[in-house]
Amino acid sequence: MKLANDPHLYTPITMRIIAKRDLCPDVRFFQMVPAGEFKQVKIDYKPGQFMMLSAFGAGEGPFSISSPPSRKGIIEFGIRKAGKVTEKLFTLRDGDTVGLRGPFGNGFPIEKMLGKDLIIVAGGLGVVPLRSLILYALDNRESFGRIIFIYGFKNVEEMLFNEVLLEMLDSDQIELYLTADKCEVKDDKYKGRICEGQVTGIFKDLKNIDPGRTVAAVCGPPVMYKFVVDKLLEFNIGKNNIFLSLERRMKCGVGKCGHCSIDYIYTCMEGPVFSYWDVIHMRDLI
Amino acid sequence: MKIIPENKLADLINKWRSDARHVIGPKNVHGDIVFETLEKDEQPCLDFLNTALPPKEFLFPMRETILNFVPKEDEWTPFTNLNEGNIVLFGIRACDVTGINLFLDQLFLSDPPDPYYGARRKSAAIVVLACEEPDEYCFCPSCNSGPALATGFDLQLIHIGDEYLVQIGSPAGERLLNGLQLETPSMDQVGLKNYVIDECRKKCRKVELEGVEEIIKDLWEDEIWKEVSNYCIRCGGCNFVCPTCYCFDMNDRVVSSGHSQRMRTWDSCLLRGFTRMAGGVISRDDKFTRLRQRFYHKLLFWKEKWGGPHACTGCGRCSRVCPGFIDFGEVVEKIKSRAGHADT
Repeated sequence: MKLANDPHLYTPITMRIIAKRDLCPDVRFFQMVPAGEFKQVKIDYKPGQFMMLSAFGAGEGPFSISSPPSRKGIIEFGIRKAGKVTEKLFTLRDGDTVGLRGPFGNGFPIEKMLGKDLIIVAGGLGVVPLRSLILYALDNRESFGRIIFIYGFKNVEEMLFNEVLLEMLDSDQIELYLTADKCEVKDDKYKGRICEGQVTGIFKDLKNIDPGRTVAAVCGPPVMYKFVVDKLLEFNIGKNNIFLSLERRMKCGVGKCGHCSIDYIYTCMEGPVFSYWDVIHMRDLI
Repeated sequence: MKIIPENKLADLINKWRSDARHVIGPKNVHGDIVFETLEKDEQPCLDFLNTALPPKEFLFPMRETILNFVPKEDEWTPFTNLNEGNIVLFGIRACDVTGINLFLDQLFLSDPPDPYYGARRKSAAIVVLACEEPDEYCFCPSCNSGPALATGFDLQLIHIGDEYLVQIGSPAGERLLNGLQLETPSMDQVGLKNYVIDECRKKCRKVELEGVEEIIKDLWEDEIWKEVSNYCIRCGGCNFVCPTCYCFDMNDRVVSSGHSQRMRTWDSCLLRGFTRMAGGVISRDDKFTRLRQRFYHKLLFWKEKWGGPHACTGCGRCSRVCPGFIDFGEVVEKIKSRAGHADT
């Protein structure tokens, strides 16, 4: 692992916010580029990796990268207001600077996904890191088979990236299923396009899944994993071809501070993406 | 090996100070033995069993500023200064040196190396004072970490009668003695040294750690963790006094409108907020899961990750400070008594 700016390991580079918009009332989308003396810095990353983002004076926290590595230059995050650091981030304006370290973690194993059919399952904010994977796969469309994407959220107001997803519904490049726990549609543009129920309810609609050539990627609230994995296993998809992106508290990102340790590993170094095979062989993972 | 009379130790410490080195040694502060800077003409306290805290704070401070942020035009710019220190850690016990050599060094200096620890460690000289007497919690011989060390020090002092036998463990140790006329010990003095160490070793408690990793690995769901954690008041004391514990937190503080700092502080896996994530989810919310994590980390996970010994040096401090009287050795015995009774 090479850090973008690494004489001192914990020192972030300075990034400038160039645009932001609200994805829903408490989730904001930030776009940023390296600033000042770091302008020339190239940040290379994989879908599923995370970075440590600093709001100077408030602190630092781990955030999944939402932009795909295939669209260079701009780093994007989808951030929920949930604590001290994110509250400070929400006060920042375009042109303000933040700190960034990383990327950290393993990310999704793209090499195992090439040429395969993908089943991507997102719950709630889990769509943020999976957006990186989906856009990467769409940008390299010929390198993948089917791309099936199931995205579940509580209600239509909490659906993130709604405009681009509605467009994707009409695309023949991706098989997209949107589902809300409670589907009360006021806006016409959603009518008949969002199912009611949980992500697991969608699996019965998936046809002709070839388990031998399917790789799954899942990210969502902890309670979701077991139910989704059971559905994937019903399709006979191999345990080592189901990848879960797991959240843990990370403070350092470099395997020192101990906060994200599970079993003998550090999530920040050997995760946050684990195969289901890893999960069943490790204590306390989900 | 050399011999230095008791009354010449002061000369040695003064010499290091005149070489512009910062000498840290044990001092008696209102009855507590603690490591502090030995100021000019000040001499260490050498009559003690062990210090209240291991000296890890001089390499990995309880609280340190790792970054400063200042606005430059319209940008915030981080900067950092590495503190090299140039210290002599004088009078450390063998168990605590083992904590540094085998655990803190392994964690902080492995790739990617931690720059703050690395800078301090590089310039720190280690002078061990071997133990003559254990207390009821000491079990360093069971961990191969005392009462004296075979390697891993710059100098090691062993008290024999009115003198100290000095073992030189490195070229840096050799340099610490430069310019002093010291005699070579006689065969009798070397024999006395071995006797002192052996007598101390014999008096130590025995906590047999060998093979415990094979037993504990099947006890994840065992009732033992709930039983033991009934006595835990989640104070984190066992972590803070442990020479092998290294977990830390990083937080920002605002110094003034144009200046903020990122602080690194010791943290404890027994504290409830240790695993708190965004939105308030705590992955180890039940107290017993945190206590289990501590014992699994010490007795199994560290070994699985890095190889080498269990992450314990037998210093006994966690047992000494626990307000709930949770004793490391007793927990190890409990674990061993569960051999073959695994629930999983």
